[in-house]
Amino acid sequence: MNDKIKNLLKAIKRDYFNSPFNIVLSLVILYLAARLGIWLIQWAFINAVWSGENREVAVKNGSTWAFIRAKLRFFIFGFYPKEQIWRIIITFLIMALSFIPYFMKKIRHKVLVFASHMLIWPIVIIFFLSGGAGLEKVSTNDWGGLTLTLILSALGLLYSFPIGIALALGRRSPKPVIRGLSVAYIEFFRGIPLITILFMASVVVPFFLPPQISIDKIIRVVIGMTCFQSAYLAEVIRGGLQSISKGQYEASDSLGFGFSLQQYLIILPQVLKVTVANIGGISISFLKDTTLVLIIGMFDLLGMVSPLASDSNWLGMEPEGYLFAGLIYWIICFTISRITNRIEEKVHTLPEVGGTT
Amino acid sequence: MNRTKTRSITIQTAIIIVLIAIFTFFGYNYIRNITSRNIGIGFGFMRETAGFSISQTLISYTESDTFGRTFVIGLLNTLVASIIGIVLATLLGFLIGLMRLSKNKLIHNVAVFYVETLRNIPPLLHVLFWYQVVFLNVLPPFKESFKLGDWLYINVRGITIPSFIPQTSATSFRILFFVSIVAIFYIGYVKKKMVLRGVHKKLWPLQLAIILALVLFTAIAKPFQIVLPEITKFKFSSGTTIRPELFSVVVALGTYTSTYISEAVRSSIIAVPKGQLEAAKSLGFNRYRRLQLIIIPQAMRTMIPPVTNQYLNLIKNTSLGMAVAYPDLTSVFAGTTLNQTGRALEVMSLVMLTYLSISLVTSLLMNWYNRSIINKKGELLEKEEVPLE
Repeated sequence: MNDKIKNLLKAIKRDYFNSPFNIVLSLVILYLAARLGIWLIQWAFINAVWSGENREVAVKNGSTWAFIRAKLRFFIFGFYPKEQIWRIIITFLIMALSFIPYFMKKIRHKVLVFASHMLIWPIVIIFFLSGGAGLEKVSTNDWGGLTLTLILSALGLLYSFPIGIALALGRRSPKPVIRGLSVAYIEFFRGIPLITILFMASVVVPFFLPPQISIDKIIRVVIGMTCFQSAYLAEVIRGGLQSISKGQYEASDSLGFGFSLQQYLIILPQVLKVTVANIGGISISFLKDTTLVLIIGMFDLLGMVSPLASDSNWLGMEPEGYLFAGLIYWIICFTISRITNRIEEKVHTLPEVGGTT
Repeated sequence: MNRTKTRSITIQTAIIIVLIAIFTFFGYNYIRNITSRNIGIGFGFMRETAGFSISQTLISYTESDTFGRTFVIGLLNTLVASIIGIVLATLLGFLIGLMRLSKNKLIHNVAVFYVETLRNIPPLLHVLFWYQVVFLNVLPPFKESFKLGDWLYINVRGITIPSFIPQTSATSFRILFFVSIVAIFYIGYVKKKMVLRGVHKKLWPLQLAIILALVLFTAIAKPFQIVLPEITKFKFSSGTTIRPELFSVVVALGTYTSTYISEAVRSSIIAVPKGQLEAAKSLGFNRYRRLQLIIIPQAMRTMIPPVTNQYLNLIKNTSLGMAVAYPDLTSVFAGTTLNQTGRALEVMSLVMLTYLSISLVTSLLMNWYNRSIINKKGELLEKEEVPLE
């Protein structure tokens, strides 16, 4: 026990107080961190107000988490009718359950699972969330909050995957037309802000369609975001493709594999393996990018803060609202990054068949 | 062989035909929709009167100016936010990146905390937080401005600093300033050339002399009259006010992007071979010289591509300023101008083209810089004057 304390003191001395300059620096930082920490704890916990009906309960030096409690339903489900919320829950349950086949060893071709998601998810979402066919209709304008954030990012990521892979392969294709078009597509979408694409989706695209056809705004936005995200994903996958050694291609050529079989069985699995970390990073930025829909008038998790804080009962509750939204985004993004780290570690410790080169 | 060739040509022709068909379909619909709604086609609207006001303009602008001018105003505001944001993000990014490499665990942890918290929060939330929470909720109202002497006032309406009014000698000051900067950089360049050839001469006194001369000129000729902000009942009658919108966008994007830049800085410094550090130590360089002369120049090479990407992201992200009504290109042109004219396609294609060109110019500049520092090594090996020991 005594040794342990001794070691700890040694470690502290080594890590924090190893030179006069560092001693001063450490003390200053400690002091500032303590001041900030104490203030934060007082504001967020000690002086905080946890329950109440309106903003009268707010105190000067504390946060009003009562606002979050009162509006939690809206933060999560948007303006979706209260008695219909079970439909959202079922939708997410089905989407979550649809991941199970990925973990089943018996299923050899997981691509088929992925393809079935591309087919099933939108059907489930449209059927349960917008209603019709026996269920009460709910306008997509009422979709919002965390629900909308998750739907937009899930669908965007789902569809940008195959397009991104196709673009990455296209960019390396020997056929000049395919290569040129892929390069133009990728560079175009990477060169412009997402907001302009959302503007296109919400303002300009209706002009391009025949007057009798109207596509729902949410679908237009998902398509626009997919176009944008697939360009970024394509570059990540291209990086992975470049890291595959020539020998892999030559070996599969000598086995007589055609292009599609070669990509499917040999190249792409390896590419996914080396790009796991980057794909995780890019999923995080896609999720963060969904916040931009608030600019074209959709109320995602971040977008909900402003309308909720302009409720006459809860005027001026923006700080709490933004902090809460920030916390949720932080938790989700941090979880994704931890998960991808875990997968990356697992993938790298897998035994390599045939030995390393 | 011939069969595959025919197949390849068939596929590519098919793709082109499909694309043309799609574009024709869209074009046909567009023209039909436009004519039925009487909106009109073409960029002629750029010469029409805009008739709306813009809260922050770098060059003069009135409501009777044209839409063409609103485009220029928006573009300038985008560039201003981008440049300030990039400078801030680079400085912070370097600082945080170096802090993460510090042996002092406390400093290291502060840097890790900074990066992990800020990076996992959407940039739009950063912008809204600075604007809505810091400016509108935390900062004092106009009458109770927080002030630092008579020089600096901070309140909900922005940060007010003294204004510098150019006097008659201002032009010569600007020229002198520009020439001095070029001269200082040129001396640095000459010094590097000398070092490459094994010549060591002290040149910094020359640089110092130039700076002193500039300071002396400023002291004597007083090219700018400093006017302190003066508070009247409802507004400042003098001084320059940095509007909260600009401040929010710049600080939000600067801090957010700095987390990514710090990662690039950190990983590229780690990537410098350890032998370089050991060699520098054995030559007796102290810590700072080691960083400055040996480590950072080499880390620069791996750093530049990811940092360029971050610069491009920051420039594109200035469009988030729209959420707080910062009058950038997207907000002024894709927002207000589009609403006023209804020329959706023209406006959007112009905006997109402009962003594409800004991105292109930025990456060209960074590539040029990249090549200029990478070539150093090659140059060193080619020069015959360098003794081959």
